[in-house]
Amino acid sequence: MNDLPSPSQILEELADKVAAQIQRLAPVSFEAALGELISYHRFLLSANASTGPDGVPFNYAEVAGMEWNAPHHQWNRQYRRLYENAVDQLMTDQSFFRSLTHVPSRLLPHRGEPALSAAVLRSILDIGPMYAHRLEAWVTRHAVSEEGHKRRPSLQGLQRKVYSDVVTDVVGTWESLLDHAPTLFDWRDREAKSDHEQWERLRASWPYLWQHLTNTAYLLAVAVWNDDEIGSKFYRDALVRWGMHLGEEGHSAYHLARPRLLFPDVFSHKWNDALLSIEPLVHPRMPPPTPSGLFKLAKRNAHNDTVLITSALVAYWSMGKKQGSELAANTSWALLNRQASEPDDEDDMPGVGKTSFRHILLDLMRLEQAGRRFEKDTYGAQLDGLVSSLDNMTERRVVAGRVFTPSTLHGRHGLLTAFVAFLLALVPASGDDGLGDQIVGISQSPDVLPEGDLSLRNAVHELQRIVGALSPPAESVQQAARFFNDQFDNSKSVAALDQILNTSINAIEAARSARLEAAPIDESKVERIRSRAQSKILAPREQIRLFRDFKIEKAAADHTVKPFVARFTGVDKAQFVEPPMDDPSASYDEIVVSRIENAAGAHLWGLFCQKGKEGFAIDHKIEDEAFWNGIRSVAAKVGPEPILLVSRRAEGRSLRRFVYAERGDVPPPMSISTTGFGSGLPSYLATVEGIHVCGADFPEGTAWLFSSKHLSTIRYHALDEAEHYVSVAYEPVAKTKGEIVAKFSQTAVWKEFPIFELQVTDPEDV
Amino acid sequence: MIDWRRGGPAGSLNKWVRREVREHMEKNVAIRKARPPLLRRMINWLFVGRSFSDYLLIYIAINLVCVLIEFIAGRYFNDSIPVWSLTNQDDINLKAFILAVGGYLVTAQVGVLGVISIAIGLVSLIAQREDASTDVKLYYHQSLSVEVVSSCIALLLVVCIQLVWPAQFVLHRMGAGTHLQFFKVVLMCVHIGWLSVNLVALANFISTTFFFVQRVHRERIREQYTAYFVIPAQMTKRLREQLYHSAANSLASTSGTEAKHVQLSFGYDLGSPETVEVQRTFNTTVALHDVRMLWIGWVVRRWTKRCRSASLPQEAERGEDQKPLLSFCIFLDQAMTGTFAICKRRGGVPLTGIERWVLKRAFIFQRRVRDE
Repeated sequence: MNDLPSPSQILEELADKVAAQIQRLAPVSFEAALGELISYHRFLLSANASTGPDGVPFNYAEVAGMEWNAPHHQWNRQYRRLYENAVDQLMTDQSFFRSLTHVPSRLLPHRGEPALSAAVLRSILDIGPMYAHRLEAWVTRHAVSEEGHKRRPSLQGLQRKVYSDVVTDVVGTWESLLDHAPTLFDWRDREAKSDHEQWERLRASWPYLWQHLTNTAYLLAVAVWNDDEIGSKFYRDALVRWGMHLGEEGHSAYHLARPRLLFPDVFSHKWNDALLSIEPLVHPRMPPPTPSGLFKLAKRNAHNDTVLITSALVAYWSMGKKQGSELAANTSWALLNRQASEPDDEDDMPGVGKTSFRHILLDLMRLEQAGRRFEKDTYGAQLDGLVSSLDNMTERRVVAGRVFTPSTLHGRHGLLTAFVAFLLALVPASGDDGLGDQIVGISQSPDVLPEGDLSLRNAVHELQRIVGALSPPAESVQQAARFFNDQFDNSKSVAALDQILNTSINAIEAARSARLEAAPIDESKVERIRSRAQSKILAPREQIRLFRDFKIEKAAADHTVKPFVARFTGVDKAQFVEPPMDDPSASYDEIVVSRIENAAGAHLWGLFCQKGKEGFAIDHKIEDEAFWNGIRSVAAKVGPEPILLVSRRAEGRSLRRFVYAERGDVPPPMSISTTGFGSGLPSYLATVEGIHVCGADFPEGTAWLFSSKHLSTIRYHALDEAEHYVSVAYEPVAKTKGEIVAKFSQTAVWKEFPIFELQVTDPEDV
Repeated sequence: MIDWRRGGPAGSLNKWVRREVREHMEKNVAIRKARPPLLRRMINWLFVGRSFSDYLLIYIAINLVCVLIEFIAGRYFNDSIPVWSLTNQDDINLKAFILAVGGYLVTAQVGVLGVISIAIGLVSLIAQREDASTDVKLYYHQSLSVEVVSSCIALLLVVCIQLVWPAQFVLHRMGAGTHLQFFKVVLMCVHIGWLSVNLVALANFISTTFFFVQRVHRERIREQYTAYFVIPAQMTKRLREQLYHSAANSLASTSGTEAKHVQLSFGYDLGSPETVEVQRTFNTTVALHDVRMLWIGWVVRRWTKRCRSASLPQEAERGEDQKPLLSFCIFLDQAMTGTFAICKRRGGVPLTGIERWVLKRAFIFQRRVRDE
């Protein structure tokens, strides 16, 4: 079996025969050989076609096993060299290339044949960019610079004519692939009468349409990148016209109250769920949406996004000098304004020349709402993927297998400078082009946004990024804006845009503040912190402050004990409403709980400080052996594991110098260690003669000597009948700021050991 | 999620894949359309995959059965043998007739071989001129040329040898058997039947040869070959690999909510530091042939529960790379010899004896003649 030919080998040999006929310039044999190749390829796709348990088409050719690529990808690769061969014969006979451009449509299944999976269909559509690259390589090889002209190289004479003819056919063939969608997905199936069935057919087609749309943008990007003036004109035209007459005759896009907020993510839902997801967007006086109306609106929005991103990307190339000629900038502006290849054709095209400042800014905000960065399976991720794939063709050459930092964009956010240039070129000299009303409308009803208040915060963040890019705008941004608009005045435009954006930001923030002020505190969040704080301070532990070997007990309410109140000021209310109106911090609860725990420790230390102490004076420096001999007797009285708490700045510093002094082979006069029991104590300095020395903010000459086991028990008394030992509350101070007030009733039981307060004096000072 | 119960009571990986492929072959419209006609399917059943030695062995078995029956009949049922098979009966010399038929068969087989040789030579020449090596292989495969030639040569050899009936001669020299020609007639009928089948296969060969130069028929032959030989084999191979390497997800999901606390991996050796839980030693070259997934799922569920009950609460918050891991670090179909680990563990609790025993038997190895 291993020696028998595999489908890939058979396809390769069939492709060899096609290539041989191209070399022979034999059109009849070529068509026969190509027919044989395509017939076998279609059979392979059909023979592997199946359906999943949910009825969605699946293809076993997608299963790669341990191979690097899935079989259907390997099969598609066979066409690459055919395009290379056919392109080489363009000046002799264009029929080979023309015929090969029909390969994708000839691979699509006919009525009655097994349906192909979305992945296989996308792969078939990827043949388009494959032949576009070969065609652009031919253009690059044949383009010449006119003598005495500084313009970019271009095709001349007969080559120009031939290429123009071919590229119009290429665009036509490519556009015709879209006409297969109604048949492929049974849009016109009259048996599908229910909205649910119609929606299922329409949403099944979305991966195919999206791939066609993004590949159309890719064709344009390839042409611009290769300085192909003719190709970019026709591909731009194809992108502008994309989906205009796509099998939905008689159906117009549904009118939502906020049409820009409908994203293709809606196709991930079944019909009833889709209706629920768009409910906030539906105008109350409008009839309920139809599947085709909703589909058309989502499709139109996706088309607008693609046009905006593509025009921004080619503008970005121009601004970053990645693409040196004016073609990129010209294409970008023409695309943004939806200009057709021939002005006469623009009569039937919606949206031509209607690009305005307001549209661009609102579309920009829509892109921000499309999904967060690095999220998978969202429309936002698809848009990021589009930017990444378009810009990827500009990546520098890298050695395969090496790890390298990409020099290309990987998402929408990298296009900021291009968007700023668009906005600067379009910003009105006076007024805000009606933007303010739109912003106020959106900011007052965040429920219509995909993620509510979070979407508004993202919008503010995006607007702030643009404001940041205006102070001052980069030279490339100014040049691009000037290129797009002859009347561009840098200072006036920047000031106008800055004012509009800041007004918008302020309007959004004002609406948010008003909502935040009115929003009630979510008591469950407060209770969660209280519960965690209580668990934390009641949990057994080895050490608290300088004390070890003690117990923590719960005790009944004791009204003679005054509860301790800890206040943490400057707390944002936004964290305590539901949903949160500020970016949630993963460790916010832990921080608050930790502060309450510290307050409990501080209170305990305060109780210890209030205890009576016996005085003891010693006239030796802490680094003298006599000092330690002098306190040995009192240290023996304080109990096990004695601790000497000294001034951190005075005695502590002297002792540290002494402990770490260079002595050569001479041993220190006292036993000194810096490890063991004491090393876990806070502000630990060293253990000298068995006494653990720690630092504190004491005045010079003052020290306390006590046992680390002086504490016997910590008791927390119940604060109420519900046996809460800690209470936590949010108390408002300002409109959107407040305090966390934590309360607990803590007492301590101490062992009967003495505490000494030492007065240390330097004998030289006496 | 994969329902491993489709692989039988043990959740066999191979059974799961075989069932999947069989169902696909039955349901797929394109494959059903490419199905060859009944006669062709019968020829395939008789010839595909058989070699010269296979034909000889089958015939030797038939011959030995005849000799044995003749021996038993000659001794115990002599009267039951038809008398018309006497050597000279009604002026017909049956012995001479059988000998003559043998000669005709030899002649026919030699002629068949000549035709086949010429046809193969012509097609090979044409195909090589068109640089169509896969087409040549396809032609050889679909015309059953190797099998038909093997069968013809085997029959030729058999008929030549049976001109002297060596087995019957030995039987008669031992004083057993019978002088009646009945059993030789039976064997002669076998020879004629075999020749007839060869001729039908030759007709198929000739039709394949002539049709192969026509595009439509060539496409049809190519599709038949792809649908009934390549797709099942390649689909089986890829599905086995894919399912084995993605088994971690399916087993984790069938293990319930506990699964998020552990990690599984199949077919990846993540290296040290890990504890070898199960290992096996083979003195011959073997390869992992099948895996009983439901058995592994049972072990994983038990182990996960014990890991959960033994771990501290904060361990649930661990990152992916810190979770307890069971790594089945063995590759499907990879030839191995000596001692090798089947299951390694990182973190978590050790497996119990019964779990190790089950895991050892969940991985089925098959002897390999040579490294593949």
